[in-house]
Amino acid sequence: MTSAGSSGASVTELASKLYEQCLNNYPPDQLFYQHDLLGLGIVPKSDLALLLQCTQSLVDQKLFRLLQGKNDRLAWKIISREDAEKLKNLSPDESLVYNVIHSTGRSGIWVRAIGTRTGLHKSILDRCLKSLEGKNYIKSVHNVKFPSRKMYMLAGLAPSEDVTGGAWFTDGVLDENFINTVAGYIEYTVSRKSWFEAPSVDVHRSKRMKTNDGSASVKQETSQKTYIPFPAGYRGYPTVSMLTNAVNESGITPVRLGEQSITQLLDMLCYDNKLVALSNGEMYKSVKNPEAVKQSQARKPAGEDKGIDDRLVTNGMTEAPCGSCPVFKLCAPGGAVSPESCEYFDPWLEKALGF
Amino acid sequence: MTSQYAGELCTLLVEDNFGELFARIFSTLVHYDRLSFSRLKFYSRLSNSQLRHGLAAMVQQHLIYHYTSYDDGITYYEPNMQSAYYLVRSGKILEFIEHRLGKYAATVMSTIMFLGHAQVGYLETLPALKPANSDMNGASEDSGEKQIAEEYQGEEAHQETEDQPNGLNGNHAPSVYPTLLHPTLKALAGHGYILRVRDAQFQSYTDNALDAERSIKLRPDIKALKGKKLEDAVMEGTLELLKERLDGDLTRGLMFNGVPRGAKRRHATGAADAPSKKAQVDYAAVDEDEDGEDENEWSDDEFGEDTIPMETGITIRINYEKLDVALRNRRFLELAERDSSPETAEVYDCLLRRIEYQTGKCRDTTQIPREGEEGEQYSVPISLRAVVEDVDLLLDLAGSVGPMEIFQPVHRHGKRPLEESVNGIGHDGPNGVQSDGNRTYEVDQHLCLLAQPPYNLTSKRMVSGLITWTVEFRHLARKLRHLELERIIEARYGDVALRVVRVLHDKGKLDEKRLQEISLLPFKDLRQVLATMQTGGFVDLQEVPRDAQRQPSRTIFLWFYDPDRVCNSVLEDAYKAMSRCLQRLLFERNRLKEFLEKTERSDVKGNEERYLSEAELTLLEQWRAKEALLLGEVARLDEMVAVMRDY
Amino acid sequence: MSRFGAKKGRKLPGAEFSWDNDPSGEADTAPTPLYPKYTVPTARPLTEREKTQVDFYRALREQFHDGPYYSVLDPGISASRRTAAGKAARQHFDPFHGMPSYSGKYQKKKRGIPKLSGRPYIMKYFPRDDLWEVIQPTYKPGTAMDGFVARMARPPLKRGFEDDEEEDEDIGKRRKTGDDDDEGGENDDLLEPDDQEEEEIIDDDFEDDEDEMGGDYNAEQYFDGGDDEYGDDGFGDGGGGGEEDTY
Repeated sequence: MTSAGSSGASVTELASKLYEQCLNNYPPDQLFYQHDLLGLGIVPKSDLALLLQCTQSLVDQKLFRLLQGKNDRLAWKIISREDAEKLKNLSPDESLVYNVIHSTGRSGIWVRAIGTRTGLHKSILDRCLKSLEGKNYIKSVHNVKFPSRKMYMLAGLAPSEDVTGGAWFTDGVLDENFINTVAGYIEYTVSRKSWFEAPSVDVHRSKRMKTNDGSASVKQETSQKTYIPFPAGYRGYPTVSMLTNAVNESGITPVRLGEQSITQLLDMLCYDNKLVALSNGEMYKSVKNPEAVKQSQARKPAGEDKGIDDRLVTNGMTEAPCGSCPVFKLCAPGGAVSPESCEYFDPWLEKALGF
Repeated sequence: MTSQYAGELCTLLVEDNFGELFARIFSTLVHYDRLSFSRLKFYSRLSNSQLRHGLAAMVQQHLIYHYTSYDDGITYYEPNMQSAYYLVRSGKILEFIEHRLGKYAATVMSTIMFLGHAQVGYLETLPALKPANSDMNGASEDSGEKQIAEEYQGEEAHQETEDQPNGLNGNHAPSVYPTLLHPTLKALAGHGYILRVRDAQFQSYTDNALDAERSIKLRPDIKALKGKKLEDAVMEGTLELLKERLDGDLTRGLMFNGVPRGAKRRHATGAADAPSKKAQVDYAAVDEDEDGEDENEWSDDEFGEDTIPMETGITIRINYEKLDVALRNRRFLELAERDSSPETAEVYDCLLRRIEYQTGKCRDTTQIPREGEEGEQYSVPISLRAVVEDVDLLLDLAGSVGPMEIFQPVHRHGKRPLEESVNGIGHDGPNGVQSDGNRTYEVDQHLCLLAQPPYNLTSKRMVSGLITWTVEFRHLARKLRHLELERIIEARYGDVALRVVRVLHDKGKLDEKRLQEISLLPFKDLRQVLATMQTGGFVDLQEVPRDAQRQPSRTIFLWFYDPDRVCNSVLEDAYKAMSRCLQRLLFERNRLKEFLEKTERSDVKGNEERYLSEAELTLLEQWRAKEALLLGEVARLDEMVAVMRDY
Repeated sequence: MSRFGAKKGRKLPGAEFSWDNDPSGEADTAPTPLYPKYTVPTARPLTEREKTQVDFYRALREQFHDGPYYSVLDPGISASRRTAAGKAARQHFDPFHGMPSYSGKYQKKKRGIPKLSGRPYIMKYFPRDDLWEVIQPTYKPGTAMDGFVARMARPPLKRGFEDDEEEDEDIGKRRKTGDDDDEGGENDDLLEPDDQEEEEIIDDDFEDDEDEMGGDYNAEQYFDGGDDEYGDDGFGDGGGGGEEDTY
């Protein structure tokens, strides 16, 4: 700032003009090259030397960050005044570390990578990190991909999904309980909007309807209410944004979940045969009616011993004693393991017949 | 169908039904595939007369193919695995026939099964097929007989029934009473459940194909061709000739507007409580007479030619291909019943039945094509009108579909003249009279519901401006297949595994990380489930090395799920499990051999209460339950085999 | 099934010998049991429909068992009348249950050889050289059969199968007797009694030398017979040549 003679004041002035211009007219991430800055028409006569004086002064004030752009050309980025305040209070080492961490944005950076990039000794680096963390400028983050690595990023940034694994990870670990809670909530919410609740008059009538082996009438008989489907082409099924709002307003999530996260969960529910995506995921419909959803959800925590899922009933293979027999492959008539000597048939018969 | 376990199973089925001699011959043929009489004798170690009689009887039962070679004049025998396998499905088929066409039709079918094939004229002579309540002298005094007699008097003139109870006596006394046999046979033929026996059906498909090819090549117009053209012409000609030679279709002339004569209407008209009970199993009229009080009425009088009996010279047998179509439709219907209201399922049933009438077999290809290489195969389009006609008028269609928009009673598409209450059920109830257009719209709406994901059970087609509905067979058959596999996976490895497999199936090959992101499962669970499934052969791992060293650390591991391969191995397992159940049944029977032989004694049989002690009666009952369960289990496994092999 | 139902239901052989059971940490070297513990699945009770199906299967099976074809390999007493099976029967004689007893007369009789008589057969569906003689005992190898339908143990019957439209065309072409079916068969019998004997001798030879099959077989005659009898147009439904082998 103490540059030669008469131009001194004007450099400061020009510099702050330059800064204002950049700050107001460009996004904070804009990369400025020399000709960009000259093109602003602030530096008279496109005086390159003068421009460099200005930028240097801004860099010194921590308002500009010097970068190397394409082809090793010099380039600059602006720094907000707030950040500049912070940076001014840092030691050069700290400043160096801060800049490296800053450069990696939301991905965060591994401590060892900071070391190699700054060339600082480990003890100095540790001290810098400690001090920066103490000032609450940076934070350590957990990366799902490299759970064992110590990583840092700026305190004000939210870790990217790559780092966290998405909204469904807490400290890098998939939060199963959280997922199940939200998934259950979503299924029920979708279900309530997927079925039309017919007045009770219908119950009586539907019960009389002929059914095949009684299998189809389960819906009617197990619940008080009768649910009937909406006609094809019905547009009242919930959409992703509706569901995202519903989840965020429900109070079951401590953090606000984005549509992307909710979509992820909806897909999962589709893979679980619980929901069906309509018109390419524009809307979602539940397979079970609300009553059935309630029942199956109530059963879940009840324990390990829950019965056969009513969706996928067993078939010939799963209920035959051979279906999951541990020695099925060895079994041959007349062999050591054989249908004649089999020890599983008797309990199987007994289980099914009761004698 | 030629695997070790399939062979084992078919032999067991043959033994269970026909005894050891058949089984010995069959298993020898399964083992050696194709044998001349002398070699067969050598390998089976049977005496000449055992073998000759056995072979003749087995040919009669379609259990073996025979082919007399052109070159050496020697006759070769081959096992007919398909026919042998279908023995296991006989119960299912007979139950289906009874359900569809009534008890008597089932008796006729089972008689045909019992005889292998038979001429209509011979069936006429069988006492088992005379109406049950008639006495053997042909008198028709009793009332039930009379009723039928009145309906059929027109037929008597044509009918020449031999009334000798033993069927051995060739006297030609024309029967005094009419019989149900001919109309029933016509109904069975019209539905396609039986077919005409053709010479070529006694040879294996390969032999027939070679023969046909040979004849085609001898044709002068073919001889003139060369190269690729020749090949194509031979191929085409062979297929055509094969089709012609094997064709035993009997439905021609027995269909009327796409519905077989004698087909019962889906619903009983006039009865007030009709919707609440299962459709009548007896024939109902095919005519449009809505007032027919008698559900049992035969409608044949309407069509002059239908009173003509079946030609007595035709030889008939069971058409298993067609029955597979019917049984497959039943599975589709079950799929619909799971997720839809009973009303929707019933509408679907009507559509499927119309489709069944016009579908000869499940597939055009002999093998189920690989996943992804399977084209679409739509059923015949059935006009909406036809479905509407078949749907029970008393079925409450409107009450089982919700409104298009909640809380806004609007006229949907302006088509509905009636106001709807908020609840969408305010309009005509079960007893109201509905206008035709309304009804059509409602049926269409139910069919639309079925067309929705996840199963897409129907699909709509506009054919020259008319709404028609079809079913995409391959898609649905695949769905059934996947469902069976998913059931196994869920039962063996849990619901987590099911999710993983469905993700893999949908996305193709995935690495663990991506798999986790989509399935949202903790790594630990994911790895464990993948590892156990890999051991079980349900998923597989592909290694993609990133460099020439192929170090594990530099290798990408991709998980994948190949339903084709899994299907094949599950199919083998199913055959094996079926065999094991049958073998166990045999073993269980041997445990109780003495006792069971006693119950089968001619004096005891039918008089069990008199000859057996309390304890013995209980034992007998328990044995029957045991046998039923094991056979039922075999039938359930057969259901899977059908899905993975036949549908 | 619960999550990881696998853990519960499906144990690998030996999995139940977990290390935890053995505090000393020594591996259990006991051999893997043949039938490791495993919780057998529970079968659903049969539905009504399934019960009906099973009953149909059993009924048909019983019909087969009571029918003429059901045959066992070692028919025991009931078949000891048959000389062929007699030796074997004596060897495997069961002294406890093999003795004829009063109640034995009610015992189900078991056949050693299918009984073919008692019903008509359509000859053309069977291979001629090997099997015609058993389904139609009056058939002589080397002679042309007039009708295709053999009816055994049944008096001649004029009405019937030769009226079959399939065979209408063939009637005119019949070479020898031009008579109707069964009678024709019997005529053959009367005309060529020698053949019958010859055939029987050959039949006996089979017992010893299975490779000398077809002494009664004459390939040329075979084809001649076929061609003469039916000509190229064969059966109306046959679709041309290439079918001779099926007669």
